Amino acid sequence: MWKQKFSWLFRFELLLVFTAIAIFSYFQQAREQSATLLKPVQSYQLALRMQFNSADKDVNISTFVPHSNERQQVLTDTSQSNYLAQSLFPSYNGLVSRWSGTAASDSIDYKAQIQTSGYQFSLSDSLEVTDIDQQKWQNYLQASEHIQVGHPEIAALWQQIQPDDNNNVVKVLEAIYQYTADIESIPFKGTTDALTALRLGAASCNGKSRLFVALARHNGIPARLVGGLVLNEGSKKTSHQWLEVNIENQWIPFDPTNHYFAQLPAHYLELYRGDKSLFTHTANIDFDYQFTINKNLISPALYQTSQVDDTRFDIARLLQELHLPAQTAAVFLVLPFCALLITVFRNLFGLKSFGIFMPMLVGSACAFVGLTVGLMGFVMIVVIAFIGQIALHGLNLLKIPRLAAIITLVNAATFSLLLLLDQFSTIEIGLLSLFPVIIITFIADKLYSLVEQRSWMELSQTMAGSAVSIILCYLCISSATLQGIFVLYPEAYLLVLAAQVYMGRWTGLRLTELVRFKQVLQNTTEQNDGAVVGINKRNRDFVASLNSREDLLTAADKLATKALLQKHNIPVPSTIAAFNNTNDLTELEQHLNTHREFVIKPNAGSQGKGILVIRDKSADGFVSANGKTVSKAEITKLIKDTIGGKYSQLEKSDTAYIEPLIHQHLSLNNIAPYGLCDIRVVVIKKQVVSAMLRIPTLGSSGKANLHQGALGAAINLKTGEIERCLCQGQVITHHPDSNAQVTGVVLPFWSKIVEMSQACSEALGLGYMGVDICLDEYLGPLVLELNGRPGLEIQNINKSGLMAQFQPSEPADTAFSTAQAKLA
Amino acid sequence: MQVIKTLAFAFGFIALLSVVIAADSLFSLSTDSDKHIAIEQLNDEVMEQSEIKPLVADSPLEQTMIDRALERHQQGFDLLQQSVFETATELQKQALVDALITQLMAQSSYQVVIKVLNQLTESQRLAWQQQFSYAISLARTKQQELAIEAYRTLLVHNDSHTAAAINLGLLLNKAKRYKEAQRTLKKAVAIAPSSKKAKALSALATSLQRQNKLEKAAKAFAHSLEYRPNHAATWLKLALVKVKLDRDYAMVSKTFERAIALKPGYVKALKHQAEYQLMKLNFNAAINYAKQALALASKDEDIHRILAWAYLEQADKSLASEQWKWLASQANSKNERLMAQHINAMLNQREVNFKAFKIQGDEAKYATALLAKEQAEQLKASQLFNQIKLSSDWFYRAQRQLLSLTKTAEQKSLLSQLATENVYQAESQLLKAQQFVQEQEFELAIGAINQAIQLDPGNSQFVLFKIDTLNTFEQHHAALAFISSLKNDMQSSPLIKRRIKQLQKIIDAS
Repeated sequence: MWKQKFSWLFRFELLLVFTAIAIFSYFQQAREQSATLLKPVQSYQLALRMQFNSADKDVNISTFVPHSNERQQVLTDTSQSNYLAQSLFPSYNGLVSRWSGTAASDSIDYKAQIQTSGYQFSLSDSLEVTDIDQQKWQNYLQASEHIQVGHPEIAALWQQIQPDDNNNVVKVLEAIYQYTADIESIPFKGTTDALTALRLGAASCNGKSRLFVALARHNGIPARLVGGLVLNEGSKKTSHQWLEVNIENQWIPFDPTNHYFAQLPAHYLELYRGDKSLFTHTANIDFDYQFTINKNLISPALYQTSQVDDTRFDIARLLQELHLPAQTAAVFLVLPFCALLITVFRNLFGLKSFGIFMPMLVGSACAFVGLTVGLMGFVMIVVIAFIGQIALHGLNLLKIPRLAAIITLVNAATFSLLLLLDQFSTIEIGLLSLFPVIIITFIADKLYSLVEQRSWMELSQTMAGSAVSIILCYLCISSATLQGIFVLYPEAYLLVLAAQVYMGRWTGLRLTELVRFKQVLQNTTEQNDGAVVGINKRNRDFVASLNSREDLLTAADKLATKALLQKHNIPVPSTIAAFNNTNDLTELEQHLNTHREFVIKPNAGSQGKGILVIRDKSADGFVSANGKTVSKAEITKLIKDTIGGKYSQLEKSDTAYIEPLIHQHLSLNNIAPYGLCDIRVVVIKKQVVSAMLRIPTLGSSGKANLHQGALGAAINLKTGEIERCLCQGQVITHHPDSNAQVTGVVLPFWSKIVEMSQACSEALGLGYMGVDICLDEYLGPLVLELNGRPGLEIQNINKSGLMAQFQPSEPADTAFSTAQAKLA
Repeated sequence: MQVIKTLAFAFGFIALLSVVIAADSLFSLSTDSDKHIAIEQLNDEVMEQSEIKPLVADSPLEQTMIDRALERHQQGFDLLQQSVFETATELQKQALVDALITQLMAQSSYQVVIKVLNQLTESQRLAWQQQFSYAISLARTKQQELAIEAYRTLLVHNDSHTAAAINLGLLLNKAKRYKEAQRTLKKAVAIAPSSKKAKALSALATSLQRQNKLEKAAKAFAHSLEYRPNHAATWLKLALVKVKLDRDYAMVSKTFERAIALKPGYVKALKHQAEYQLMKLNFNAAINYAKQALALASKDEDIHRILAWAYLEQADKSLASEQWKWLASQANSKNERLMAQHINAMLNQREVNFKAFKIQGDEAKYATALLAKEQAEQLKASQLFNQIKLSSDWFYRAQRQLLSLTKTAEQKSLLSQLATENVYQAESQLLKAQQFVQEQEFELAIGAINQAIQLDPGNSQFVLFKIDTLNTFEQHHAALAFISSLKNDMQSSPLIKRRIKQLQKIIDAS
C-alpha cells in the first residue's frame, strides 16, 4: 500500500514536470519575442485628482491627458467621477479629456500607467539654417501674445548673443540655449512671456522656453512649446514646459530650465504641444488638483498582447478580455506561487503565522496600496479586532456570534478610517477593507487566546512569522519577473503544482524542529537516523495514515472513550453524572449535596480548559484545588458554559460530567503534592514507544502541562524508572518546589501501565495515540483520556526519537519503519 | 541525514526565492539607455502629418429673437416689459437678460444696468447670474455701500466666486475698511485660480500695507509676482514696501530695476528709484534715474527736486543751480519756491535779499541746516542735522553732512557707523577716502577710494576723486597710469580729458 502510494504520487509529479518541459520546448520557436517581454521595464503610475466646489451649477473641466506616441506609451488608463461624464477627443495640441455635468462638488480621479523612453539627438555640425516654406511652417515661426518674435528687444538681444557663424544651426541653438539656461530660474507660477523673461533676466520654465522659442523663430527655425510633467516620484501640483525645434523635419527637444540640449530624458511625459494651459474649467468652482507619481517595474508581457503570437495560449489577453485590470491580473497570476510559498514556509521552515493563507491575502492587498500602508492597515485592523475582543469578552457571548459582532465593529471602524484618510491624505487603503478584514478578525480571536494564556513567546513568534510571510508574499506578487514568467510560460503552473504535491508528501523535519529537537538529533546515530519525528511526519504518516476519522472523533469524546475502555475492562475513573443540556441541571443540586470532592470536566475539552477540581465543602459553597471558594452558582454557570460549547475543541455544544476526585498514589504524592501527575504513554501500532511522567509544580498552578511549567520526566520503558527530568528545558534531579528526588524513582504498576496502554490501542484502533494514565491511591492506574494527536515534546524529554524504540514485527512494519527512515 | 535534507531544501528554496525577488532589482538597475538619433542634412522634405479636429461646439439659443428684443430695448421699450420676455421660458428670459446686460456692460451703461436689474428680485439676479454685473455697476456708479452688499450677497450664494471676492476686497480697501478687506481677500486668494490669484494677492498686500503690516504685505506682493511676474506696478509696490522695511540696499535696488525693466518709460518707478538712491547716498544713480524720468516728464516737480538735491550733494554746483532755479520759479507752493531761491543763492554765492522760508518739514530743515553750514553757523547746522536724523528718509544724508561738522574722532566713529549701515557703501568709502585725504593718509585714502571704485566701477565721481588724490600727493605718473587703465568711454569724458591735460602740463613742467 505504501509502495503504491509513494510511486503513484512521484509518477504524478514527474508527469507534471515533463509536461511542462514538453510544452515549453514545443512552443519555444514561436516565442522569439518572449525573452524581451520577460524583462521588466520601468513604468510610471500617474494619478491625477481634481476637485471642485461649484454651488450646484453646470461644470466643465478639461485637461490634456497622456497619449501614446513614439516616445511614450499609455498602457492603461481609467477615469472616475461620481457626477460628471467624460468625453475624450484628440485635438491638434494633444488628447483632451473633458468632464461635464451638474454637481455641487465632486472629485475626478484619472489614473494611467505609462511607459516612456529617453531620446538623445546628435546634431551634425554641418547643418545650416536654411530658408524654409514660410507658409507650411507658419504656426511655428510667427509671433504670438506671449512669444514676441518681432519685438525690437528680442532682436537686440540676439544681436548681443549671436555666435560668429549664425548660419550654423548647432551654433545658433547653442547660443540661444546658453543664454536661456543661464538666466535666473525663479519658479513663477503664472505666465511669463518671452519679453518678461528677457527684461527680468529671470523666469520659470515657461518664460525660458518662450524666450528660447522666440529667439529660434527670430532665426527662422521652427519651434514650438511642449507641456507636460516631470515624472519624479511623489505628489506635485506643477507641470513643466520645454520646447522642440524642427531640424530636417525632426522635432528636437530642448529644456533650458533643467539643462537638456537636444535631449529628453525618459522621465518626461508629454501632455500637449503649443502654448496652452494644462487645465481649463468653468470659472468660480474653487478648482484644485494634484498629481501623484509612482515609479514601478512592470512586466511588458501583461500589457503588450499584440506582440504575442495569436496562435498560442495568451493568459494576459484572456484576462484582459475578462476586463480584469492589469494589476489585478498580476495578483491573480502569482497567487499559486504564493500558496506554494506559504506551504514551504510552514512545512519546511516551520514559520508560524496567524491564519494559514492570510499572508497571501494581505500581501495581495499590499500590492495595491503599497507595503507600508498595507502593513499599517493590517496592524490597525488587528488592533481594532483585538480591542473588540476585549470589549465583548465580558459579555460571555458564544464564539461565532462574538466573531460576527467583531466583524461588524471592525467594518465600522475601518470605514470611518477610510473616510478620514480620504479627507486628509492621499493614502488609499480601500482595497484592504475587502475580505482580509474578515480573515483578520478571526486572527484577532487567536491573538486574544494567546494573550489570555500569556503565551508571549508564541505570540511574538506568530506575529513575526505573519509579518515575514506578508512581506515575502508582497514581494512575489509585485515581482514583475514572476508575472512575466507566468504570462509567457503558463506551463510553469505545472511546475508549481508539482512542487505543491511534493511538499504535500514531504515529511522531513522543519527548520524550527532542527532547533527544537537539537539535543535529540545530536544523539542520533546512523542506525537510528530518522527516529526523530517532526510534525510533518506525525501528521502524514501517523495521524492521517494510522488513525481513522471515526476513531479520532471517539478519542475526542471522553465519555465515549470511557465507555469503550470500560467495555474492554480497562480501568477508568467512574462518572458521577453527565449533563447534556440545561434540563439535566435539575439533578445537579442533588449531586452537589451528596459529594464533598469531585471534578467537573468538559467532554470535548482540551489543554485542561473548563476543568474544575473541588477538594472540599465550605460554608459558602466549595473549595477548589487552589484553595478558592466556589459557589453553587459558579459551578452551575461553569456547567452551563460547558454545555454551550465554550470549552469544546469541536466548537459546538458539549456535555459536562462529574467524576470523583482522584487521590494520587503516595509514591507520586511524595514527589509533587501540588496536583495530579499523569503518565503519557505513546503507542504506535500497539507498541509502546515512549513514555513520560508529567509532574505539576506550583508554577504550573497544579496542572500537569509542560507548556505551563510542569516537569517532564523520561521513563525507562523496560523498568518504569525515571531516568531524566526536565524543567523548562533544563535537566534537574529534584523537584524545584518540594525538593524531593525525582530521578531514580520507579513508578509502581509499571507493567500494568504498559499493558493497559496496549489494550487501549486494541480497544480504540488508533494506530498512533497517546494514553494519559494517573495513579490512584486505592484503584491504581486509571486511564484519564486518549489522545489521537499526541505531541512530540516527549522526544526532548526522553532525548530520543519516537521511532528509536519501534520494533517492526511484520514486513509491513519493517517497510513502515524503513520508509520512515528513507523519507526522513 | 534528516538534518542535511531539511537544510538543503531550506537553503535551496531561499536561494530560489532570492533570485526571484532580486530579479526585479537587477533589472531596475540596468535601466534602458536613451535612444540615440543622429540628425543629418536631408535631401527631401517630408510633409508633417497633423490631426486637426474641431472641438465640440455648444448649440446657440435663438439669436434672432434675442437681437430683436435688444433692438426694441434700445428703442426705448424696456426688455422686461416686452411681450417676448413675458411669454418666454425661464431659460429664454435668462438668455435675454444676459444678452442685454452684456451689451450694456460693454457700453459702460452702468446706470441702465442697475435700472434693469433692479426690476429683478435678488434671487432672480442670483439664479440668472447677473448679481456680479449688478455689483460692478453699483461700484462704478460710486454706490459703494450698495456694491459691497451686492458682492456679499453673491458670495453667500456662491462662496467660490473669485472675482466677486476680489472686487469686494478692493472696495473695502477703498473704503478704508482694511481688516474686512484682509479677511475677504484672504478667502479670495484661497479660491482664486492662478490667473486671478495675482490680483487677489496684490489687493491683499495693499490692505496689509495700509494696516502697517509691512512684512506680510511684502510677502503678499512677492507671492502675487509669482503669478504675474510681468506686472511692473507690483514690483514697484514691493520695492516701496521693502524700502519701508529697510531691506538690503542691493535687493531693493534690484526690485526697482525690475519694475523699470518691465515697463520702459515707467516714470513713477524711475522717480522712486531715484529718490531711493538719493536716500541711500548713491547720488550718481539718483541722477541717472532722475534724468531718465525727467526725459519722460519734464514738468514733474518731484523729479526736479530729486535732481537738484542729488547734484547738490555731489557738489556739482552749476547743474544743481539749474534745477534749483527751475524750482524757484515752478514749484507749486510759495514756501518751496522761496526755499529754492535761497539754495540757489547759496550755490551762486549771492546775497539773499528775499524773505526767509518757513521751516516746515524735513526738507526745509535740511535746507536750513545746509544754509547754516554755509554761513559757518556750525552749532545751528549740527542741531538741525541731528533733528533731521530722526527721519528715516533723511538719516544718511544728515549723517553725511554731520561728518564735516564734527571733530576728527567723532568723524571716525560716524564713518565706521556708516560702513555698517544699509546704504550705498561706495559712498561711505568715498567719505572715508576724503577723511583720509584731510588727515594726509595717502595709502588709506587710495585704499578707500579703490574700494569705492570696485563697488561701482562706472562712477566717474570716484574716478575723478582718485585722480585728484593722486595729484594732491604728487603721484602724477600714477594718475596717468590709472587714467589709461580706464575704459574708453570714461577716458573720453570731458572731465577726464581736462585732468589728462593738467597732468601732462605738470609732468612736462617738472
